Parts: sequence; C-alpha cells; structure tokens
Amino acid sequence: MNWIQKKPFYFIVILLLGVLAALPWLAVSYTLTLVFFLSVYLTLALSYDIVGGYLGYMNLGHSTSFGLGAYTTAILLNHGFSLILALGLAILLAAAFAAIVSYPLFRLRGAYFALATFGLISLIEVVVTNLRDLTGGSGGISTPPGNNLLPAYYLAIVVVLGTMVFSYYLARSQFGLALFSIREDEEVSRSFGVPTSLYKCLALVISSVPASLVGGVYVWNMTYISPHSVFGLEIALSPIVMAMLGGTGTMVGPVFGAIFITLVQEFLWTKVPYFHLTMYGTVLVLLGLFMPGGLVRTQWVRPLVQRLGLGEEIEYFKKS
Amino acid sequence: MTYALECKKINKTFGGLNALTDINLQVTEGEILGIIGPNGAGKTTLFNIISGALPPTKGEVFFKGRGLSGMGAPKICRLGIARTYQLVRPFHSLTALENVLVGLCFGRSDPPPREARVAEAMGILEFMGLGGRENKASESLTLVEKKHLEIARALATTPDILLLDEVVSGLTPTEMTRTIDTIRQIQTRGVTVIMIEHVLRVVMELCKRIVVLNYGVQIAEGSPRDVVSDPKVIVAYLGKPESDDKIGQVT
Repeated sequence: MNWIQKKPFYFIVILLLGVLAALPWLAVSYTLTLVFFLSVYLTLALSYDIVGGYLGYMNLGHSTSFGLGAYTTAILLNHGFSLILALGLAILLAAAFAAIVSYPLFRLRGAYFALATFGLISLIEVVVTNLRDLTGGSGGISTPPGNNLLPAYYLAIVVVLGTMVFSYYLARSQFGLALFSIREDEEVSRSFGVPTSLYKCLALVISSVPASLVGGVYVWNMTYISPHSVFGLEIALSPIVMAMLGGTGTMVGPVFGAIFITLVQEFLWTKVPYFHLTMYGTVLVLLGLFMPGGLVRTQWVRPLVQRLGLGEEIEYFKKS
Repeated sequence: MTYALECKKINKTFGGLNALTDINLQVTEGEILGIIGPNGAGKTTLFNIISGALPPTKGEVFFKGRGLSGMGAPKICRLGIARTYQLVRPFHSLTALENVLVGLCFGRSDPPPREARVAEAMGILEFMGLGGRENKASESLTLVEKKHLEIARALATTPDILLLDEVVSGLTPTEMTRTIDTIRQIQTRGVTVIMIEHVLRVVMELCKRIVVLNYGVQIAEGSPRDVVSDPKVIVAYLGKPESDDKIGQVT
C-alpha cells in the first residue's frame, strides 16, 4: 500500500486519538460514558469475531468470558487485590475456562455449536447466582465505591485499540490464515496439515482475553453488577449483532457495526426503552436478506475500506 | 523392499455396507499407479483412508515402511502424502495464492522461512499455469483453474505421494493433454502418483500399472492393456453380455 496514499488516513487516526484523549475536557461525563460503553461493546464484538468470523464458529456464548471477567474482578477487588492483579487473574480464569470448555464444544458444528455455547451463558449465570456467598447471588455484587470514570475511560480506550490492532495483525498472520482455512473447509484444512483441534481451542482462549479484561474494567467503573447485567441477552447479543452488521471476518467490520448501532441506539434509547432486542432481531433478518456480508462488503463501503488498506486480509505474506 | 506406499488388508465398513474388502496394494517409489473402477467401487474411500481422513475398519496403511494407524490427517500430510478432491474443494473465499500458502505453511514438516513463502507459492502457481490468477478468490476461478489449484495446493506440501482423484473429469481434450504433461513433470520431480481416473485415455498414457476396484474388491491388476482386456473388468463396467458377443476384444 502506497505510503503517500496512507498519509490522510494516518492524519485522521491521529486526530481521532487526540480527540479521544482530550474528551474529558471537551465533553460532559455522559459522552465519556457513551464512548466507554462503545469501547466495551466494540471489544466484545472484535473478540467475538475471532471465533465467529475468522474461525467460522458462531460462539453465541461469548459474553460468558465477559461475565466471568467481571465477577472475578469484582470479587478480587473486594478482597483487596489491586486492579492490575484482579484483572490479570480474571483473564487467567476466563482463559482457563475457555480452554476446558473448548474440548466438548468443538466436537459440535454449526447450529449445534451456536446453541450449546448460548446455553453456556445460562449455565454460568445459574452457577454464579447460586454461589451466593461468593458472588452475592441474584442481588449482584458491589465493588469498593469511587468515581473511576476517568481512568476507566482511558483504560477502555486502550483495551479497544489494543484489540483492534491485535485483530488486524491476527488476520494477517499465519495463524489467521489457518483459522480462515478451518472456516472455509475444516476437513480439507486438516488434510493439508492444519492442527485444527489445537487451533480451535487457541482461538477460543484468545477471544476470551479481551472479553474478560473489558469485563473487569466494566465492573471497576460501574462498581456494581448483577447476573443479569453481565449474563443477560443484551450483553450477549449486541456485540454479535454489531459484528455481523458491520461484517464478520474482518477487523473493520465490527468497528463499523459497533459505531452504527451505538449511534442508532442513542436516537432510539430515550424514545423506546425496550426496543433494543426487537431492533437486533429486525437488523439480523434484514441483514440476512439484503446485506449478508455486512456493511463493509457493500458496494458503498467496500471501496473506502480497501483504499484505506484495511481490506486485504492476508497482507502478511506480501511483505517481502 | 520398502514400498513408497503399502496397503495391507484394508477393510472399511459403513454400518452394514462393505465399502472396501481386503485391499492389498504396493506402490513403488516414482511410479504412477492408476486406480479405476465403476462409480461407487470404493476408490475415493481408499484415498480417504490413505490420507487419514477416515480410519480403516481393519488393516493398515504403510508409508515408506511406517504404519499410519492412529495418525490424524494433519500428521500424515506433513509426513508426505497429499491429495486432491474429486469435486474440487478449494478454500472458497481465499485467493488462489492463499490456498497454496495453507498447504505450504502447514503441510510441510519444514516450511520455508517467512520471506520466501510468497515467492515459492507463486512458483508453484506458475508451474500449474495459474500465474496471473493468484489474487482471485478461488471460488471465482474456472473449473480447470480450480482443478489445477487443487494440484498446486497439494504440491505446496512437497509430497512424496500425490493422490489425484479424477483430476481430468470435466476437462476438454486440450486441457486433458496439458494436465497429462503436468502430471508427467510432477513424476520427474520424484513424486509418486496414485490416480483415480475414469478417462481411460489418460490412464493408458500415464500409468504403467493399474488396479481395478469393483464393489470394494480388487478384481484386476496389471498393465493397462492387460487390465482393459480382462473379462472381469469388462463385465464390471459393461455388465454381462446377453448374447454370445465376444468379450475380450478391445477395439
């Protein structure tokens, strides 16, 4: 990609980063919270897409990692752990859980995998609710109070940007190529040497890391979560709808989808409070009918994406 | 003598169906072996077993004297056995180059260094006549290009044994001639080829030895001329004569 052509792109990126960094002084705390939530959802959409889009296994249970990360962080914070340690251990727990659960789950394909992973959310929600002494049960759990909005905002920005960069390079790596080949034809992929069982497990573990991390940041900011808020339908489905609307299998797809849906929600939120889930359902149906590849693959958006150099998935190998 | 590939008493049943019964094959290094037989004879099932996609119900496959039982398809590929598919199965939304790169990066026991990979993949694509097409999504290639991509992807794994499953079916005579030449060139590079084929012309030109399968059983083996005039083979393909038309006459 021509360096000269990319100059305006880099300029916009730097401008955007500058605005994000200065936002606490430019806008009210509502806007900060909005960007914070956008970052959380986008991180979830991007990390979902590693398994849902790159690997081609629709992991409807992705928010399990988010919820496990949130609850682990909350419990550890209440026991006096520092934030960094709490987040680190939360990631480890979610990753270990993903590794263990990948064995039975990846024996399933297609719709069966999707349903089984979806069922996983309810399972974990029930377990968490019943471990009342540890988690506070259905009443939820509070963390040490304090206004963490400012640092949490910056932390969330760092996490989402990091996830974007990671996702970008993953798609251009040898491992990413393997995931794509498994998505396209798993049996053929195996017969050309790809260690599919190992790589599927790795993909699930990798996708659990940003999700659990952002779950911890979320609870640190909110200082309170309940089983419903982290294991409910809203948090389970929105990132997935965002990824699908924007376009699965790419880094920019979830970005487009997250921004688009967040903007739409901002206009509908005050008007029709419980409309979200209905909207998601409608979006999915319309998507399937008219835009199966998502926004980034439409004839309007695709040229823009390619001109920015974000279109080709496998550029890694051309760097010679 | 250690054969490049040996199948010892391979049996495969699916429920009540005997797909393969007591298949014994010895393939010498560097030869091109043909496998023919009516549809449903079990030829592709045999390929599936050799490449590790399916386990045999009984018997074992030996690659250069080494038993392959219990090894998964990825490992067998890395050892040196690669295959194509009868109904082409490229990685659809990946480009031709990416298809070959999958084989190149994962199908070898010692993949080349990162910087050299694209160049090497391009070399293989050019050898198979796909020079300018490397950035096209493989689903948008023509049939003959897809078939050549199948071979290119398999070659990328630097196989010792190449299993070709009906590579010329659906090709025009000119395309067939080109493919025959390409397979000969592959053989001169030291690859042992086993090909399933229906088009007898191709089998006669390339194979010094043919094995005939019918209903999962080996019914004949030998040189092309011998096999084609074998009454058992003719009956398998054409059925029993109703009158006393002479069988055994090859026109």
